[in-house]
Amino acid sequence: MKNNMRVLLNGFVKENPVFVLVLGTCPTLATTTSVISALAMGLAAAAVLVCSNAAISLLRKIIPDKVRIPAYIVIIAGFVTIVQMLMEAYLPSLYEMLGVYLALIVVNCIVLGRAEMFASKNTVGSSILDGAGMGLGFTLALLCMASVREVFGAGSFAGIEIPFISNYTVPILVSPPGGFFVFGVLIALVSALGKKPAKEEFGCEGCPNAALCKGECGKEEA
Amino acid sequence: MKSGIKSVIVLTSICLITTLLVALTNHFTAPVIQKNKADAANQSLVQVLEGAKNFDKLEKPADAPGSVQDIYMETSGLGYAVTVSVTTSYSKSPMLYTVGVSGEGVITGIVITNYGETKDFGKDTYPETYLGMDSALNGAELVAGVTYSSTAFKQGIEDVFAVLIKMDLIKAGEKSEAQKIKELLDKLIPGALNDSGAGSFKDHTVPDWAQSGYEAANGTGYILVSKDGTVYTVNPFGKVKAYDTDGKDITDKAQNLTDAAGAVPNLSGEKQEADTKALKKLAGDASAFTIAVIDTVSTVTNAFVIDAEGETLYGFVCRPIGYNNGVMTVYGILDSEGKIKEIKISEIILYSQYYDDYELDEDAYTEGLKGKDGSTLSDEDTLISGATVSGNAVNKALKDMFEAYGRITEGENGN
Repeated sequence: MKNNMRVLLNGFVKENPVFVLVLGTCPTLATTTSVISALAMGLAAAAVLVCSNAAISLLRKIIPDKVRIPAYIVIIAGFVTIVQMLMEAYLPSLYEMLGVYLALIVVNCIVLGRAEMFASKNTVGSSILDGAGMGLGFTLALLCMASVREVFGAGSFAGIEIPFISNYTVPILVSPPGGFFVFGVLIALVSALGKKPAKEEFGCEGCPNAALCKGECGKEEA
Repeated sequence: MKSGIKSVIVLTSICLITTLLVALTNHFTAPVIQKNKADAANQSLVQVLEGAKNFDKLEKPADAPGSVQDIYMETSGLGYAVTVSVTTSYSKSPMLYTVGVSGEGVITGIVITNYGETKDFGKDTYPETYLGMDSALNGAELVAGVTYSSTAFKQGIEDVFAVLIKMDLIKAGEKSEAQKIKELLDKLIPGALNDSGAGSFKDHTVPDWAQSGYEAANGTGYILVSKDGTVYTVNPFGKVKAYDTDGKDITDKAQNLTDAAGAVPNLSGEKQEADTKALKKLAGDASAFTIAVIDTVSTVTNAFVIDAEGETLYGFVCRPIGYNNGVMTVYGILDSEGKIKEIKISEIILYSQYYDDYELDEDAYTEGLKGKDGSTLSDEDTLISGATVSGNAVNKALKDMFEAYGRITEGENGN
């Protein structure tokens, strides 16, 4: 039970995919101009993460090693397409808002990274918890970043205008350079608040290439 | 081998199961998505007719213009809403909009539902200029900078009125004299039209008996409008014709034919020396040139019968409108059978002026054209990827050359 909780909470802070593992930067920068779109992107990615982790974990003993990556991609693409269709049907305004970034979840490093590093080696239950933890961690990170950008860049929160602040906005925050700036500041903040320096947090656990290098990359550099 | 087969089977199975799941989801979501789209389209109907609540879809006439998608009638009799789809050479996706027309035949609203043009300059303002206009579209202007898009947009509006008038739903608006004359310019001097069908004209000095004068930007003719409303066209060879404001040929009855010819420069004569020099480079220095006077053939600005050491050739100079309304010059020599013997294209409007990485291949414009005649030239012969407008202009010029050749050899106009 304790171990399950640790798996679930890992993605929130300790191995936060955005601020610690620095994965999924493209949708992070693109969809955090508003809280609503960030939340929608985060939850869509979380749904795909949970489903793909579950499916891949379920099939981990069947999928031969040499075709595992194409198999993972097909599974992930399938779930992304399903999420896309459901959003277009039942949340059309959010679907319009996310545009091409919704389809790009297929190539999101977080999804493939968790499939390769966790789901392919653990039980279905643990994989679902890992997917949920990582997905919610991703959502939380997007939400934090979008809150800063929308509140100070557009003077509103989730589309609701905030009195006073709306008169003193910094419009660059909702533009791409502002996105990079806020991203950098938040990474620095999370790194500073962590007990250990951020670099040490980059263990093989979160690295999608870990299976290939088998932990040798760090030793070579040293 | 065994593991290879297993890999194939597993991957194929995963693909099939995934496809099945996606298909299943599509089965349930497709009708909902379809309904959402229909609702969005209906929303635009309500927006273009103030106070509208319900619409009935009308059956579109079989010969309705292709741009007209659907026609709706407001059930309480407020008017009509028509959905339009137009594309231009610069469309990334079709330009979709809904036009509201009152029962009196006046535009009440326009909502653009998709603007897929590469340049969106003015898209928020120029559609609004049509509000309150009737089918005469008096005062509707094209927009410099987005000429192709605004021309297509205007054409779509004209199509809306055309179909509503055809269905006897509204009455046609009255066009002013000035408007009729403006439309006549495009009709009477087709050589001045660009790839999207918009004419390039500039004002010309007028004699005492005329009220207005126009000159085609590419030298394919002049138009003078007399104070009594007669429209005189003077082609590059100095030939004059007269029309009434409805475009009916009244040359036999017109008074100022000689005055009209004398009031404008003889374009063919003025450029004769330069054109002859350019054509001699293609036909050979020893050739003797005789100017051929022909009726207006679109872009043809000069025509010659050439005696090239006993062989009879035909030389033509065409000036079509190319990319960005720039004037191109196409020199062609046809042999006695009307086949292209030599061809040269100059003053090509360089795409590199607009796109830094575009490299112009001048030979691509003339490659494979020699030996072609009116029956063997196709649109694909002059199609150049990345330079479609210029390629189309060359095609138009060549077709005009073949037509002018026909007129000279059949003795209709040549002398």
